[in-house]
Amino acid sequence: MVTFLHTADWQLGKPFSGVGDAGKRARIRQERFDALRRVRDVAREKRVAFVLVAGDLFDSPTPSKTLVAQALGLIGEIPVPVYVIPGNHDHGGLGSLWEQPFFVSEQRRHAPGLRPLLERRPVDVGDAVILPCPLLRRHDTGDPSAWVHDLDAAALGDKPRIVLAHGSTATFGQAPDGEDVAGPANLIDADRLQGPDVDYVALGDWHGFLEVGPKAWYSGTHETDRFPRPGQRPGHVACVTATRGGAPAVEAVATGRLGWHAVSIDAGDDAPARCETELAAVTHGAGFDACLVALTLSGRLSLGARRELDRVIESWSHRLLDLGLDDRTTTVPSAEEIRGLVERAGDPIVAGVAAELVRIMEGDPAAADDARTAIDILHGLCRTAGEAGR
Amino acid sequence: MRLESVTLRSYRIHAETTVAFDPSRTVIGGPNEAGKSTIVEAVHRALFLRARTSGALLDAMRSSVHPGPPAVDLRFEAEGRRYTLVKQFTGTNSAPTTLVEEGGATLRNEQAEERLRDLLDAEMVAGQGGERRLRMQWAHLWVWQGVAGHDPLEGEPMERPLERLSRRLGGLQEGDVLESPFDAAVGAAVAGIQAARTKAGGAPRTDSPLGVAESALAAARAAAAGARDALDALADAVDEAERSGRTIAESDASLAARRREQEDTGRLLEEVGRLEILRAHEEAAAKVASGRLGALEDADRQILASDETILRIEDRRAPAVERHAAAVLAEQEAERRLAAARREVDRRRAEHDDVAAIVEIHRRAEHLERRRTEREGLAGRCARIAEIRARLSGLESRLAALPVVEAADLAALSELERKRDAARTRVDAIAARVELLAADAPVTLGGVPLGPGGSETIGADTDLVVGGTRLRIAPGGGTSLAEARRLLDEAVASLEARIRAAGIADVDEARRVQPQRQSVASQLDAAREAIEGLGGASADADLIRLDDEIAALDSALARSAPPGFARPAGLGEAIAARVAVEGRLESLVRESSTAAAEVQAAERIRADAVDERECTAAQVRHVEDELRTATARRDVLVSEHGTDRAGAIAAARLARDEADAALAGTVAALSRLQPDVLRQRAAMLARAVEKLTEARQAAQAARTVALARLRTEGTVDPHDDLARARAAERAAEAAVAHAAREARAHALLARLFAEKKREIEARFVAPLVVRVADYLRPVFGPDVQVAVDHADGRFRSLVVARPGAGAPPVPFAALSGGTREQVAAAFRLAMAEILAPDHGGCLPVVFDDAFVNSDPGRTGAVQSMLDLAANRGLQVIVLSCNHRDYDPLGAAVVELLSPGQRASRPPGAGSPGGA
Repeated sequence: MVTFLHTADWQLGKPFSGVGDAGKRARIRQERFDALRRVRDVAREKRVAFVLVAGDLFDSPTPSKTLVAQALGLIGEIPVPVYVIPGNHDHGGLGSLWEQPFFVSEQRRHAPGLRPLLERRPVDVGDAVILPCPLLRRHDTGDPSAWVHDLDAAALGDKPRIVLAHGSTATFGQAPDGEDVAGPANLIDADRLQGPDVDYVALGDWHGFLEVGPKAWYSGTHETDRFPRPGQRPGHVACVTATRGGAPAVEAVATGRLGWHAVSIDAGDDAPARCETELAAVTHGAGFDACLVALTLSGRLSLGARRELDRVIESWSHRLLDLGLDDRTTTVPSAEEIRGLVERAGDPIVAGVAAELVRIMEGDPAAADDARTAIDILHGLCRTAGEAGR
Repeated sequence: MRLESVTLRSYRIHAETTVAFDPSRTVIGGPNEAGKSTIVEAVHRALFLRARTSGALLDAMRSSVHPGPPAVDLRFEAEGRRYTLVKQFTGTNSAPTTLVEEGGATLRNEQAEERLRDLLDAEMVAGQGGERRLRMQWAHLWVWQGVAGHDPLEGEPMERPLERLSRRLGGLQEGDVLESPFDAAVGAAVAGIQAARTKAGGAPRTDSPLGVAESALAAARAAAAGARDALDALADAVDEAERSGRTIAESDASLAARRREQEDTGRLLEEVGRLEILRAHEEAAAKVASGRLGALEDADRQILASDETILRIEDRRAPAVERHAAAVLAEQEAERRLAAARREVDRRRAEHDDVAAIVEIHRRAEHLERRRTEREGLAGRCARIAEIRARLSGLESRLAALPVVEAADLAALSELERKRDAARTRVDAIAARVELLAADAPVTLGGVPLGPGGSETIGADTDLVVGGTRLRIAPGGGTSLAEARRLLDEAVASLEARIRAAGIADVDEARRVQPQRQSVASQLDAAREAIEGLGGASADADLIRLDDEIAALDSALARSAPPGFARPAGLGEAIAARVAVEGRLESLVRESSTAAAEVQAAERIRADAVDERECTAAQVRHVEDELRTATARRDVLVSEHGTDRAGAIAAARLARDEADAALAGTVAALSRLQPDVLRQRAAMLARAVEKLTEARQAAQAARTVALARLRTEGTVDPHDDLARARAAERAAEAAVAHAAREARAHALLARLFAEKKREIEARFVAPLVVRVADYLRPVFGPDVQVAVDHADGRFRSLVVARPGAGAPPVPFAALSGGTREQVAAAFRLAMAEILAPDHGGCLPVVFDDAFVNSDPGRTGAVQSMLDLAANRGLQVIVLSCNHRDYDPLGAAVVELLSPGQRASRPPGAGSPGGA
C-alpha cells in the first residue's frame, strides 16, 4: 500500500494572454507558483510517499530560465520525491526543456527530488512501480500508454502499479480540456489500462478533478486557470492510497485560491444594477481581487442604460483580477431618448440629424449598426453640449 | 417709420430750407451744390447724432454765411404716432433737443434722445469716432453717395443691419428652422471630431483612434509574425535534428556496404595491375622486334632509293656545267667592252680640260680689253674737269670784285628807304606856309623878316613878330612836327648806316650789284656741280689705279698664254675669240656625257654577265653537293647493313612474330578482367564513399547546429511570446473594428449635420432671396434668381443667376458697376421690407445719386423696382441732379435751387416748399 499525491497540469508560466492588464496577468501567473506551496503543505500533511505530476508541469516546451529556476526552487521545497512526465504542453523529445543543460543543472542543485520520467519503461520507486507514458511530441497519434499492455506483468512484482499518463480518454470522448487539441491525439485507452495488472491510472490533461473509472482519475490542475465547465472541479490534488490488486482510495484536496466565475446576465435597462449585484455576489467568497469573471451580457439597452452599464463594467474591470466581457447586448435608444433627440423644437439640426439616424437604424440592417453608434455618439455630444450650456 | 418733413436752419448753405416728404415716393432734384445731400444728411443727423456733439462733426454742419448754430426740425411718424423733433446743434451740453409726440408728451434733451433711440432701434452718436459710428446707423437704408455699388454683405456699417435681418428672418420662419446655439455647439463638436480624425480625402489620421488602432494592429501582426517565426525556427530545428539523425544513420549503413565493394574491386584491380605490367614488357619486346625488322626493310629501301637519286643528280649536273662555261665567256666580253668605253671617256675629258684652259685665257684677255676701254673714258673726264676748274677760278674772282649785297641786304635797304620816304612825307605834310600879304609894321618870321608878298614854309614852331606883336606858329598843332622830324632823322641815319656798311653809294647801286652777284654765284654753282658729275676729286685717283690694274692684267696674261696665243686687238675681237672657244667647250661637254652613258651601259652588261656566271656556278655547286650527299648516305647505309640484307630481314621477321603472340595472350587475359569497368566501379565507389562521408559530415554539422538552436537562451519563452502576440493581435483587431465602426459613425454624423445645416440655411434665407428677386425681376427678367449663403449667423456670397440666359451664376463682386448698384439697391429694399414691420410697417430708403453707373436703358426698370418698394409700403427718397429722369416714377418732386439761383430770388422766397 502506498499513499501519494496525484496532480497534473500545473502549466507553470501560462501567459494568460487574454488578460489585458500586464500586472494582473503577472499576478495570475504567480498564483500558479504560490499554489505549489499549498501542494507541498498537503504532501506534508498527508505524509505521502511521493508526488506524481501527470504532465504539463510547464505551459510551454521552451520556458524561460527564470521560470524554470522558480519552478524548480518551489518543487525543491516538496519533502518527497516528485515524479513527472512530459505532457503535450511541455513534451519531451529532441531539444526539449528536459534535456536543456540549464534545466538539468538546476534540477540537480535545487530539486534533487524531482525525477522526469522520459522513457516508457517501468520505474521502481520503492513503494510502488510507476509505468510512465511520457509524451515525446505535442500530438502523438498513438496511445502513449500502449506499451504498458506489452509488459510482462509478473516481472513487476507485488508493489502497487501506477500508470502515469497524459492525454484524453474515451470516457470523456475526444474533447478533453486542452485548449489546443488538433484532432484525435494522445488518446489513452483508460478502460484497457484498468485491468488487474494496474492498480491506479494517474491521468493529466483534463483540468477538473474527475473519476474516469474505478482505477483511473484526472486530478485536474492544482490552481484553476480557466472558467470551469459545469460540474468541473479544478483547483485540487488527488491524495491516493493504492494497493496491489485492490481498489484505490482517492480524495480530492483543495489547493486553488483564485475564483473563476462565468456570469450571464440577460437584462434590459436594469443591466447596470444587476451587474453590480451579481458580480458582488460571485466575488464575495474569494474577494474581488482574486476573481476572474467571464461576463456574458445580452438584452436591449437604452443609450442611457448603456452608458451606465459601461461605467459599471469599467469599474469592475479594474477591480477584478480580470473581467472578460462577451457583450451581446443591443443598444437601442429608448423612445424617450429618441424623443429627446428628435423632438428638439429649438434645435432643428440636431433634431433633423437624429431623425435621419433613427430612419437609417430602422431601415437597412447593414447600415443600422453605424447609425446606432452614430446616435450613441450624438447622444453623448448632446449631453456634453447640454452640460456645457447649463 | 416714415419721414414727413424736415427744416434746416443755418445748416451749411441752407439759411432755412424746408422739404416735405411724400409718404411713398419723393425725388429731390437740383443742380450740384444745391444742398440735396445736405438735406438727407441733416435728417440722418437729427435722428442719430446727439445735439451736444462738437468738434469736426459740428464744424462741418455749421454755415459759413448764416449766423447761429445749425438746427434741424424733423417731423416723422413712428409706431403709428407723429413726432416733431427739434435739434439745435450748439456743441454744448445744454444743446436743446425737443421731441414732441402729437397729442402726447414733450420730451427734452436726454429724455428726447433716449426716446428717439428706442423708436429707431439705433445708437445716439456723440464723441470720439462719431463720424464712423454715424455711418453705421441705418446704413442699409441710407445709400450715401459713392456706396451704392458696395456689396451689401460686406463692410462694418452693414454688420448690425444684417444681424437685425438675421434675427428678423429667424422670426419669419414657420417653426424653428434657425440653427440654434445648441445645434451649432453639437455641429461644431461633430465637425471638430471628424476633422481631428480624418484627412481631407476621408482617410483616418494617424493619430485618430482608427489610425492608432490600425497602427497597433500592424505592429501586433508584425509581432505575431515574428513570434511565429521564432517558434517555427524551433520546430524547424527539431525537424532538422531528426532529419540529420536519420541521414547519419543511413549514411553509416551505406558507407559500410560501399567499403566492402571497394575491397572486392581492389583485389581484381591488383591482378589487372600485374597483367598490365606484363603487357607493357611484352609490348616493348614486340615493339623492338618490329622495329628491328622495320629498320632493316627501311635501310634496304633507302639504299635502293639512294642509287636512283645519284643517277638523277648526275643527269642534272652536265647542263649546269655547260651553262656556267657560257656565262664565263659572256662576262669576259662584257669586261672588254667596258674598258673600251672607259678609255673613250678619259680621252674626251682630257680634251675638255685643254679647251677649258684656253677659254680662261680668252676670258682674261677680254677682261684686260674691257679695263683698257674703261681707262680711255676716265682720262677724257679728267681733262674736262680741268677745264671747268679753270673757268671756276675766273668766276670766283669776279664775284669777289662786287660789293657784298645779297638779296636780304637789298630787301633791308629798300625797307629803310621806304621808311625814310614815309617820314619825310609826314614832315612835309605837317609844314605850314606863311605868306605876308601886306603889313604896316615890320614882320619877322622865325626871326627872319618877312616882307609883303613874301612867304615861308615852316615845319617847326616859329615865332612871327608883327611890330610889337609876337606870335608863335606851331605847324601840326603841337609836338607832332618835331616827332615827325625826329623819326625822319632816324630813318635817314639808319639808311645811310646800312649803305655805308654795304660799301655802296646808295640804294640804287645796291639794286644794280645784287643781280650781278646772283648771276655769278649761279654760274659758280653750275661749274661745281659739273665737276662733281664728272667724278670730282676722285677721278684722277681712279685713273691712276686703273692704269696699275691694266699693267698687272697684261703681265699676267703674258705669263699664262700658251705659245702661239694671238692676243686680240681690242675688246670686240677678244669677245669673239672667247665666244668661239666656249662653243667648242660646250660641244666637248656633250660628247663626254655620251661617252659616260656608254660606260654605264657597258657596266650594266658586265654586271648581268657576272650575275649569270655566279648563278650558274652556284647551280653547279648545288648539284655537286647533292651528288656528294647522296653518295655518302648510300655508302653509310651499305656499310651499316652489309650486303646480306635479305637474310637479316627474314630473321628479324621471325623474332617479331614471336613477340606479337606473347603479347596477344596477355591482352586477352586483361580483356577478360575488364579493367575499365573495374576502374570505373572503383572510382564510382570512391565517389560514393566521398559523397556519403560529406553527407554524413553535413548532417552531423546540421544536427549540431539544430541541437545548439534547441538549447535556447532561456531569456524568453517563444511559446509564451506567441500566445501573447496572438492575444495582442486579436485585441488589436477588435480595437480596429470598434474604431472603424466609430469612424463610420462619426463620418455619418458629420455628413448629416452638413446636409441638415445647408437645408436649414436655404430655408432661412428664402424670404430674403425671394424679395430680392422680386425687386430685380423688372431689371433682369422673370427668371432671375438670387442666392445668399447664411452660416454661423452671417450672410455671405450674394450671387445672381439668370438660368434663362444660359449664363452661370455671377457673384456680386463680378457684376458690372451699374448692375452692382441695382442688385445692392434690390437687396437693401428687400432688407427694408423685411425689417419694416419692426418700425410700424414702413422704413424710409434714401438713394443719394445711387444709380449713376446704371445703363440709361435700365432707368425705367430701376424705377419699377423703386415703385414696387413704395407699393410694398416703403418710403422711397431719391436724390438726383436730373430729377426729370424720374418723372415716370410719379414721385413728389422737391427741386432745390443753386446758390446763384437762390440769391437772385426775392427775399422770403427761400423755402423750396415740398410735396
